[in-house]
Amino acid sequence: MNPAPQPLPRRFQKVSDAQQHSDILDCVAAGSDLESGILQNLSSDVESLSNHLEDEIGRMVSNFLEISKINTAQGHFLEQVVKQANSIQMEDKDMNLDEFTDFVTRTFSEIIDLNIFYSKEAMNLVFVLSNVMAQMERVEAMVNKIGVLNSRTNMVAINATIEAVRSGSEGSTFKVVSDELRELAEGINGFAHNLGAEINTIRQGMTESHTIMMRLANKDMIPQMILQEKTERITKNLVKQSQYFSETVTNVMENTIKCKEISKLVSNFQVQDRAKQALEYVTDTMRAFAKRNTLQSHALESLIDGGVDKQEAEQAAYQALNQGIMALSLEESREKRLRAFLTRGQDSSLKDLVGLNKKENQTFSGEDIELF
Amino acid sequence: MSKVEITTQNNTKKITLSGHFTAMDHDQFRAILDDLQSGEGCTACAVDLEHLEFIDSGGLGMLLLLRDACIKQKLALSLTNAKGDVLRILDIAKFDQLFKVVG
Repeated sequence: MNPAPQPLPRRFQKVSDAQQHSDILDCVAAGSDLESGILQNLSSDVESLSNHLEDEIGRMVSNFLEISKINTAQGHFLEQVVKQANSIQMEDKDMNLDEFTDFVTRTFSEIIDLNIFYSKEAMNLVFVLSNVMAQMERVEAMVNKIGVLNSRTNMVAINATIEAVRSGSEGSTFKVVSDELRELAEGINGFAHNLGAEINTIRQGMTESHTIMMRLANKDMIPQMILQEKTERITKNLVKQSQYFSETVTNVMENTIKCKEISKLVSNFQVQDRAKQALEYVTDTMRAFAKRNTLQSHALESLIDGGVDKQEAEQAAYQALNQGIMALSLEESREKRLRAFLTRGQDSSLKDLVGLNKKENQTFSGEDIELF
Repeated sequence: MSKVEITTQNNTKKITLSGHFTAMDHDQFRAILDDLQSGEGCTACAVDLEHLEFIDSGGLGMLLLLRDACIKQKLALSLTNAKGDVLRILDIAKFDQLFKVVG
């Protein structure tokens, strides 16, 4: 036996015109109620978002103002650093880095030139002293030769004296000459001896000078020259580093100034006021629409015949909303959040009935917001 | 001590220095300077430093005296084949501004 057929919902049954008008008005009133509820929820959420934005942007602007202040102070400080890095104080005079590099190069160059000059002149003096010593040796040899010649002269004089004595009275004149000659030889001998002694003293002095000069010439100045050259290179590198540092600080200073300008711009932009104002238009508009819908619903309900099934109309409105959501083909989590939002504060049993609550455990909270 | 030699080739007096050339070599080098004065017909003087390992400030001074002697004798002087530390020292002393330094 076939089961008895279920009666169709009333909206699908053939009814009188008056009944049909009543049903339509009923549906419109239910739709207005639904929209009113949703608009109220929306305006409440937007208002909450507006307050949140106002707070956050306010904090951000305050931070930017603080950054602007810090950047101003930092800019002044960096300006001083650049000034310091670009100059060096030398004997109560400020030198820029190029002048300082020139000064160092010139000074070290002069020191090296001086070292080279001393080295050359020291060797020159060594050569001169060596020559003089060689000449002194030759003079000494000559003095010695004078001594030898003088000894022979003396011997000749003695022989002449002996011969003069042998010759008796005839040789007396000759004896006077030979005595004179012997006396002269003795004088020359004494002179040669003294000259030899003087020359010896001079030679000793020259030898000593030569030794001292050799000691000086042997003092190698190359290590000092290498050290000077290294110091010059280090100084130049330091100057170069200082220039890099100065350039870097200048760049930082320029960035600081830019940051300061951006911070001022942001703080002057009054983002929070503008955002709040814009969102207020939205919430006010939504509230006005919600109010209008409520009033419209009340007005329609007063026109509807008292026998109308209001629950059926609400059911139809929810079904239409459900179909609207489905038509959007949203990604699952997004659809879930939309359903949760649209059904917030609505009659649960009714929503279940039309499948609006078809997803399980639907909840909506701030934590469900996707973070990008 | 350095080994100092002098030879004459094609109108050029060639002085070869090797080992360590220092102020202690002044006697040898003085003889070289004396020899240079007798270099009739020569137009140039080249100092070969290829085998020179070290030179002190006295050595540099003697090279400068050689330069003076060459100017006096109208000889074109050049320093050749210096390398390593010797080349560096010549560089520091800016000898390239005073001599013709040939690689």
